[in-house]
Amino acid sequence: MRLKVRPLKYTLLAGVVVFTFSGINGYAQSSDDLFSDLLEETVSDDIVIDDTVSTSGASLQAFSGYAELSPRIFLNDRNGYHNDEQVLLTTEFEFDVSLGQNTTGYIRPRLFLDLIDSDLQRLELFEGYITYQQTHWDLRVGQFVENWGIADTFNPIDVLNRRDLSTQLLDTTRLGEVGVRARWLLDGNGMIGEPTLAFYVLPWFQRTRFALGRQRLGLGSETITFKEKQGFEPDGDEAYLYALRYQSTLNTSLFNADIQLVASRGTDRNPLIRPFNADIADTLAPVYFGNRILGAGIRAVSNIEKLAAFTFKLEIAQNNPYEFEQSPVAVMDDYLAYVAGFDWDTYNLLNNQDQLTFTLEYAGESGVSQAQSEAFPRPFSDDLITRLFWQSGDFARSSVELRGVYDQENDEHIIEATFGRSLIQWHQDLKLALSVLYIASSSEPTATFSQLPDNTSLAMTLRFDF
Amino acid sequence: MKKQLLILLSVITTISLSGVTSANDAPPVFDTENPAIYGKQLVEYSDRKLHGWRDELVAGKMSLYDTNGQSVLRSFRRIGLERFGQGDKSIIKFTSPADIKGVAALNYENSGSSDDNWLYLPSTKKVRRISGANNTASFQGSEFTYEDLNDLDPAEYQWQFLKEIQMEIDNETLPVFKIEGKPTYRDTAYSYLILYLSKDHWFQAQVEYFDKSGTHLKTRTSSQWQQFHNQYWRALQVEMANHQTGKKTVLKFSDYLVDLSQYTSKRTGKKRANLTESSFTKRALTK
Repeated sequence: MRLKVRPLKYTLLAGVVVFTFSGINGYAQSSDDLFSDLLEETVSDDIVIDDTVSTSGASLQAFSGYAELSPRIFLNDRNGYHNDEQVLLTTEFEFDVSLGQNTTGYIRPRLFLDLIDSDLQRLELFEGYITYQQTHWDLRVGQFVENWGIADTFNPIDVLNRRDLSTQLLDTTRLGEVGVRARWLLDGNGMIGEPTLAFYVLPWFQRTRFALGRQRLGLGSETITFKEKQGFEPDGDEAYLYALRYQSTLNTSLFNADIQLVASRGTDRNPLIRPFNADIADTLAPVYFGNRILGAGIRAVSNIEKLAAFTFKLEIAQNNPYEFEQSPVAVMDDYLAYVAGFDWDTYNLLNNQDQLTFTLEYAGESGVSQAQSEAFPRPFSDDLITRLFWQSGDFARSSVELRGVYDQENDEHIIEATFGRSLIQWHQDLKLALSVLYIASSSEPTATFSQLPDNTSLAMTLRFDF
Repeated sequence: MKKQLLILLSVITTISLSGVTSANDAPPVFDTENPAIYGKQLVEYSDRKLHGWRDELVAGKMSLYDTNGQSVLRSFRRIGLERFGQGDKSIIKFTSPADIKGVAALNYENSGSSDDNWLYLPSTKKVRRISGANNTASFQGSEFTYEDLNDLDPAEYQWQFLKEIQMEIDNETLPVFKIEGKPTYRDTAYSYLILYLSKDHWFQAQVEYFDKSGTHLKTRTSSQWQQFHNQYWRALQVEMANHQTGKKTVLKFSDYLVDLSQYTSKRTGKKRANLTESSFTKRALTK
């Protein structure tokens, strides 16, 4: 499909949100892991410890999941076209399966729908893969999600999985990617620990998900139609994404750290949003493009006693965008994206069991001209990110989270406050979260949230884990 | 929850602290004339007897009680690896309640500096390194702090032998050494503690903690001792009572395995291998 470029006033980079807060929603999923094979059974003096995995046939090793109901009310009409309410229902199941002595399977189906909007109804296999494991390597095939990156909010090197941009501005969900992962577990030494090298091939292009129809974060309106499936997409070999990822620990006399090195080539997860056709003035569609990325990240804890309460973070990625063949749209120049910051922990503030974590990060870009910045506006190009997370330590695990993002370039704010607690008087696995999301968007057309005004909202989330 | 989850790593280590008795390691000649030297000798000897267990596996339940007697329960499992002189390694994984099921923490003890700590949250599928500077923090809302759960290093206290007494724990009478210890490290919530060391088996039967003003703050009582392989003692119940708030936390351990090479595989009929360092990695926390 060929597109014709329209004036910049319609331009919006789709990757509005690549936040990854580990928020109040808690720990939805259970995971199996290497040592759980030792632990998942009833232990006794004559326990079968190191050979619990059956040598033939399939058997269910673990099962868990959650159901979540989350109504949200938007306080202001958005042009009268979009919904002012959402009632999101999410249910996920997780199945860990043994398929033999060295082979395991993982299946994660998901139901996700808006009870008052038929445009958002999904029942899908969110993840589903098989892993074959040997002592020093493993191979994974299927659809999987991996969480890359060092920083808490914006991760320039987290390039593997697409995001679901349809319902969340701050907590976008990673979407599963179909592919193969080959991983080698290398030998370390005193300074380098757990070196791991992984190679990924994702042969199948899949679309980033956007809000459609009258969904609140939709890019369309009464006068503009957004066509998610009719943009410019890669084809053939261009659809492949290749990635290489190295991880290890780094132990020095000054600090101990976790490091990551990433290299990738393939479709960028955040397409440009461009007018569909010059003759159809009011139609938008995503334009996918390629990107070569070299990145690195470090998360370090100092061995200096006075700095021991801090965890320092740095993440950088050199981006080299490129156009797919026959792409109707020019892409941006090379640029460097980075995030630097720290977490600081303190305790015993209001009682002898509480804990407060303060996070401060700066996300910026280098090598971007003013003209490029206006032509390809991106979130986190000059942003200050803060987070305060207080946990009371009480029976109900009450918590308060305040987080904010301030775009210095466009003077845009996002502030979210969330209070959460378990409803243990009814059931210990039932949790409630109340949140306020305030968005002060700029009127400048090139600002990140200018295309999504009036999204300040109140939400309540009721969640049951099992 | 971050660091608070890590504590149980040490919790059980502390329980482990409580006891090993090697038949071949006879007590040295103690200097009973000098209370400071005698106290230090007793604690050091007890500490030496802790070593040799190689690895262990345990399931546990943590009950938190408030002043009204209401309680909540959390369950976990843990594996530990002894690395004498280098600092032990351990992984703890929570199994209930459901919203923290799958949360796992990895700890490397570092002698003389902060520990290395990592936390795995299933919701983010990410293993994160976190700060180890959390000595006075409560673990998971319990009455245990990280400091309480760390191995008690004899070199980090000034010891003073007080007297020998008989004490009753869980309807059992134990002959114990009563020893006072004043921490010499900075990051502590206590001015001193009183340690009750079993005279027969060298485990820590009870510890009383006194806050910075010298007021009795908490008491940790270990009971239901079980000896493994005719050598290693483990308490199957540890209670921490806070005398200032009236709250308490009770840890109960079941399905304890100590030194896995002492066990035979049900399936193969062969002796088991001990755990190795490859089981205590960040990779081991994730899927």
